[in-house]
Amino acid sequence: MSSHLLAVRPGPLITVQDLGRPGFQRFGVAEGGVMDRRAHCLGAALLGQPPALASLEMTSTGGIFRAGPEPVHVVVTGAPMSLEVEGYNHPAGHTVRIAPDTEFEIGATTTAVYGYLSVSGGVDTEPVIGSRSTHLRAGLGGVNGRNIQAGDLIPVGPDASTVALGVTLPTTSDTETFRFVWGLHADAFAANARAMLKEEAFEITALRDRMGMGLKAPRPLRAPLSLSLPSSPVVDGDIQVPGDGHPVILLADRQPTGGYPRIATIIQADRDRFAQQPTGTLVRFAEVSLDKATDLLFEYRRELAELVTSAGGSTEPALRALWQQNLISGFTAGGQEAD
Amino acid sequence: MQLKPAVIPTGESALTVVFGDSVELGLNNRVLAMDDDLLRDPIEGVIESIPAVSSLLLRFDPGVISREELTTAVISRAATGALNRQTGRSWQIPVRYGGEGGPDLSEVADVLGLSESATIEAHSALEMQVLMLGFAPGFAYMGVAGSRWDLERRRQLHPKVPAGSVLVAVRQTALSGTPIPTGWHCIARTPVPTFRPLHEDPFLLRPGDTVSFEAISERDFTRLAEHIDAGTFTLVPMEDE
Repeated sequence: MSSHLLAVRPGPLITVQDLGRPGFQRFGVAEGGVMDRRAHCLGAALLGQPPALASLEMTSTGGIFRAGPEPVHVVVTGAPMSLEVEGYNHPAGHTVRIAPDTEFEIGATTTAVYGYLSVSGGVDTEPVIGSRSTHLRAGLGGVNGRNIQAGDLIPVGPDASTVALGVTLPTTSDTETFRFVWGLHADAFAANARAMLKEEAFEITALRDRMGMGLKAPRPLRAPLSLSLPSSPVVDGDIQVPGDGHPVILLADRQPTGGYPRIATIIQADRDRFAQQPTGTLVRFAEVSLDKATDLLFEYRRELAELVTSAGGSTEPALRALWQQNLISGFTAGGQEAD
Repeated sequence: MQLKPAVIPTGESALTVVFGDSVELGLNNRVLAMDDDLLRDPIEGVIESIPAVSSLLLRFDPGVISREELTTAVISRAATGALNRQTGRSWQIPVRYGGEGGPDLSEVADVLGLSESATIEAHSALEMQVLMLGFAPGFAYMGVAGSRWDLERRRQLHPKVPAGSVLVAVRQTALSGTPIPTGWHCIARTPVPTFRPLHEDPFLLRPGDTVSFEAISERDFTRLAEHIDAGTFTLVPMEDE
């Protein structure tokens, strides 16, 4: 039976997210979806359900929720936010059964940014343009296109899951180095700008959201040619350099096209971890070849596949959705039909 | 004589096919021709094609096709594939110029050295190609107008213009599908929704469509808006003659 979660006192920025709405960037619609795919997929796997189901993405703080008239299983993944219910404190990564009409509280985090609350049956809001993901700027998806507010009754799907006990969440890696491949306009940058990217540390600023993360460079990076670029499509993880010379990394809710020069792209295998870096962290970048990046992508996919299967979750359809191979049979053109 | 496009890796699972670096109809037509070609005759492993003004992004699955194989296939297609793109649909979009929906009409007229009514006449005479959509859902860039329309962006942003705003700058006209901030000049508004997220066909305009604007009165705007709200009016493309 479906149920709901009542948001009693939710944290300030919680949104419904799933794997996004790929295929509509040609219409100006951001791809969106969870900022940390690994964490979301782990949550789904622990509840034995496909990662296509939506979770609640909690930014820094979880808050207080109450189960509806049906019991639910929940688990927190991503940021190590603990869950307290009926006097017991459960670490993130442990599945917890919440009895009907029972309140639970999810804590805060400083060592990472995004915690994911997965719930048995998935968050069941009405999909918009093929996804439940919330795009705040465009007001699409989730609960009325906005963040969760106190009093929201968040619909939850019927519980058909096979719940695992839980895992110990992987500890946040000490490495704050992120691998990249050179970007579309790398050659337009001076050699010393390219060297700076590889050799120096950059600070993660407070100018960050689901669209992107702004960094403070030790010195402004400059493209020596005055680049007057028409807008071109960007990819997740692109490092663009606006006029002030401080890089911005483009993320889930990025606009599909951009006109600023792009020097590099963070590899997909490192992208989840990057989005989880707290403000103030000093990060470094390391160059890898395209071939190496491709190998790492396959390794990342295998890791996600193992997450899904080892925790008893559904496999093939979930994975295909993950690799976006199964949006529409063959090539996707969003809403267009071949004549 | 068509030059080979540059094919540049963009991350480990996408390629950007670059036909040029300026806003020109000829380049845009080559983008749209390749996009059409891929739609009708897909390359296995290509997951998504995103056309822009003079380049096209192809996202692919390196587990199905390698970067090298796809690059070769793309260059081969560009040389031998469809050089003509499929004709898009033609739209005539009713708009109210000036007034509350077009606060910058007068300043644009000043820059053009024309009266407001001559500016309206000049803009509504334009027949433009939808070059791409981007920036926001349903946000359509159209062009390419003559050099007199090469207006610089405004010094001051409009913090928010509503959906249906007609914006001009840099020889292009843009039409917003959602409320957005903009540094372009806002000269008109249409009551016709170009982005309907809950509709089965959410996007009115596609790259390659042709658009011109038709000036209507304030009264007709209000009437049209009422019909649209009541569901008794839908804009349809123009028939071929």
